[in-house]
Amino acid sequence: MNDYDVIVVGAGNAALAAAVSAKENGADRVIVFEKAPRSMRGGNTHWSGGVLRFAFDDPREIAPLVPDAERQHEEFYAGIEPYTKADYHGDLMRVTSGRTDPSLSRILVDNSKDTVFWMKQVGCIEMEPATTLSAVRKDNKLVWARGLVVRAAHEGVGLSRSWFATAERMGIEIRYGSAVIELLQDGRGRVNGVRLRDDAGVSDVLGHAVVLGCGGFEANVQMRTQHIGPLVGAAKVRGTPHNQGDGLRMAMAIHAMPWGQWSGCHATPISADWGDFAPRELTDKSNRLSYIYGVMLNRQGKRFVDEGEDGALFTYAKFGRAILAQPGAKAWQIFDSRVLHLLEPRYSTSKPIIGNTFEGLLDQLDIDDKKTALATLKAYNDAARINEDKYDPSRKDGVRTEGLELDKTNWARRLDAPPYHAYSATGGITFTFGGLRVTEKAEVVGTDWRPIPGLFACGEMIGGLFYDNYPAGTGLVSGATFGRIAGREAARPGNA
Amino acid sequence: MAQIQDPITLRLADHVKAIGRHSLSLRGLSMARTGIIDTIGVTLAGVPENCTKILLKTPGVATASGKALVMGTEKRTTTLDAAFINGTASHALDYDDFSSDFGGHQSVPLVAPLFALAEERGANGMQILLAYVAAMEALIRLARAVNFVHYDKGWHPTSTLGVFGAAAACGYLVGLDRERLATAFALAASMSSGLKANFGSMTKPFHVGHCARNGLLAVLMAEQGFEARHGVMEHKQGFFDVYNGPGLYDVEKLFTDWANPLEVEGPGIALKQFPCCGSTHPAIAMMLKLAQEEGVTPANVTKIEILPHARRMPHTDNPWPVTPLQAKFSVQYGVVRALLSGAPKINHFEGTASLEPEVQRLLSITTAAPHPDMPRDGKDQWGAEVIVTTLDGRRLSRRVNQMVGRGGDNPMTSSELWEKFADCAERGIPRANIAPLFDKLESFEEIHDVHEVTRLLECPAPSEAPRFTEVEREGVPLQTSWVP
Repeated sequence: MNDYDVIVVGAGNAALAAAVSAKENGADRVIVFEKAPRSMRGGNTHWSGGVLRFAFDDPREIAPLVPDAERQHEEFYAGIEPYTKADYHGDLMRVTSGRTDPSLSRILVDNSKDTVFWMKQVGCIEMEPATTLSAVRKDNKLVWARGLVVRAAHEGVGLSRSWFATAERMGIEIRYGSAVIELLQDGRGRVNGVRLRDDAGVSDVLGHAVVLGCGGFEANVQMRTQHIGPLVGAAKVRGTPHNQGDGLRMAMAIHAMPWGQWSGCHATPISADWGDFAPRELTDKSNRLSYIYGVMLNRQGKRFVDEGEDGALFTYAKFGRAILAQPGAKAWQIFDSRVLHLLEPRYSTSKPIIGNTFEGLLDQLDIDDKKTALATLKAYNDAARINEDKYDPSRKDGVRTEGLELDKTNWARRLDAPPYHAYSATGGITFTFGGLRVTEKAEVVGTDWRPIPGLFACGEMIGGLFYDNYPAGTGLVSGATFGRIAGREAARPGNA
Repeated sequence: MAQIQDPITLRLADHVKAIGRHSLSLRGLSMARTGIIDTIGVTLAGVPENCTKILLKTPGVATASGKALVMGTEKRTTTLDAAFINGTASHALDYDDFSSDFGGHQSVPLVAPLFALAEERGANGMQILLAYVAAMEALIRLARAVNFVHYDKGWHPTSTLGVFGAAAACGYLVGLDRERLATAFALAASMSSGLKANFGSMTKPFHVGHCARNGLLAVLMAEQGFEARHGVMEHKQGFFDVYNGPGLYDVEKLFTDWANPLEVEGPGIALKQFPCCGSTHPAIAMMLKLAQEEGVTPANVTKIEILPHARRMPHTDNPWPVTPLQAKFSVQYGVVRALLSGAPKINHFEGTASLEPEVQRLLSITTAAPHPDMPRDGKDQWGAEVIVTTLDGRRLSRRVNQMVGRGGDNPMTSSELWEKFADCAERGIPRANIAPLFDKLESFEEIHDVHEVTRLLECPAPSEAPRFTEVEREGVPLQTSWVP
């Protein structure tokens, strides 16, 4: 006799979507095992910005999600371009250099809008226009980044809260401080329960099906070093300290197949002044993503990326890693006073180093080769004279340097208005790209290329969607899409 | 432990100090945490109110530097001044929790001084919670000994008794010995003040700030060796005889069944769910039920009948409110607003919210009358029934016989608490801080350092520098707070 119909491991966006979906689809007894205590619940969702990227043909389709938007913002829909499935898939293909899993990415894109509506209707997730994320005011109307219009009210923390409230209201049992340490199988190889470690000790809990939604291995220094390399091993962790790769290891211990880019991760530029783990109450305020308005120097005094390659939304997830590859895993972001008002408010959580001249500024920074640094800044200024009057922070303006070994290809205005401000940056890891192979029904596939009966996975545990990079707002929608599928399939009486 | 012949302040000190982690059930823990969450919320709601703003510009107030935050600002000052201003802000809207046994508001005298002191001395969440629980025991017990003579005479118990609660809270947190804690109570007795005659003015919330500051001051003075008469309560010219009158109090009620059960778990403790007159709350709650359980919407209603208990009617029968104050005292508006917008929010009682066309249309199909079968002088005087007629001719109703705030066996759910908190907090701190703050407070007993909470209670003043002030300029991204 099973204790439960569906056992869900983890309690972030994907896991709770799975739990709610299982309940919605007829599973009577659904339990969520959350390894973290109550005070740390919710996985990486808590740290996220709550943005939801989804496809729509007509901007007015999103109206039911944000019914007040038109009242709050004049001509709200005029500034939103359609974001078709082809656009969405194109973005995924572009940022992953064409490597995103063809069938999983299709499921994600094709279901994206329906998923977000389901989150609202069944998940009771409050939503709002992501004005402060992706809207730019132009000619007195808001112009939106494509596909990024809606987010959860109160961002990731609000999203997490809403999921827990809905799960509790639906009668889903949630147990905190309960670490699943092993998957149990019956004689025929079907996953039929989990081994649990909690304050009372170790015990077995049986269930008809198990959904793993407990994240990647970004907080596990051993796995980070082993799979991604020593540079990322040294990264600071932006999210939950509980994502230790447990689910991946448990699944692989019963021969689940690893899939996707195990050497890849989402790592963003964050302040170097912070500790190894981000304080929970400051969520994402360590991010340092306004580098597009300045230049970044490493400790050898050299630039190392094209800061203006694309909007920060399309480069932040890989530039963190680029910084980690620099000496001391550190970089300095340098701005002149003309762009200070463009910096995200989050920059106010650390104090800049300020100098009235390049020399005066560089003197105060822990850059080893200051001569090179000065030469780099001067060379940048010399190469950045062109098209200055076309400078436009609201879009890729093509204002670029010419003739540098590494050009800056947008927003390349001279740095010539002192005082100059420098902010430290390092790489903060958000989540890992490596995961498990799953079917279109979110069944976990074994190394024998057959589904493992009774075992499902969702969220960051699914491998194959992201390589090298990631378009903002995709993770939560992917989590809810596959969580919803996993929960529904796990709830089927005769699944697998 | 105290002997029966010991002075009352000394006995009270012993009783307060005896409370510890072992005294607290899970329910007590949850009630205490809820009280603190709600109080922080209403404090932030009080930040932009005039009483708070005037204190902040009063010469000599909060001019000294210190470690204690004036909530909703970036100013840090002395514990005394922070307790004073935050305490006043917490009662500014009269939206904070209350206790029918106490005859006043039990949390506001405690939370502001506790947070100020915790910031200066360092404290974890559990220590603050226990200090809050121990102080509430002293506070409400004292009320049992003196009420309702005390209240009826014209004292404002929230402050006249609150000063003892503030002293108990602060003395418990810093760990004063029994003698010095008794001294702090004796000092508090001489600072006890607050006249109900000042109700209806901004001096009512001032009472709270004043008693919070004075209770804290008593502890700080006692800690340094200041002296006071331990027998000041029972003295013939002491607190009981002077404030109540000889024979008009019962000291034994102060100590009988002390902490058994804890006052913080008591059925008389309740939260205010809506920012309007408490007499309108039962009817508003019934309309919310109709909307949630029967799917009643503004579009499918042809008639709304409100039947409150007769005693709730005289001050809330206000069919066409115009000013915010009239709106707060209109049961018709409260009910209509609930149908239109869900649980009423602070901004529904500001400006011209009650004059919105849809509100006016709904008011025109609304009536209110005393309930025909809720006895005027019966035991339950806080009931209401709401009946709606729908387009398809059905008559649907919900009724509650007694609902004094939300507490006892009808506590606010976590979601309702969040809804109120978010509405309140938005007035005092950046929006991005609100959910992380609530998240921290929801497991308050687990936080290691009070600064994990107070750093989120800061609100930077609008900057003079060009830095973030140009965010609305053409072609410039609006202020961002995202993170993918």
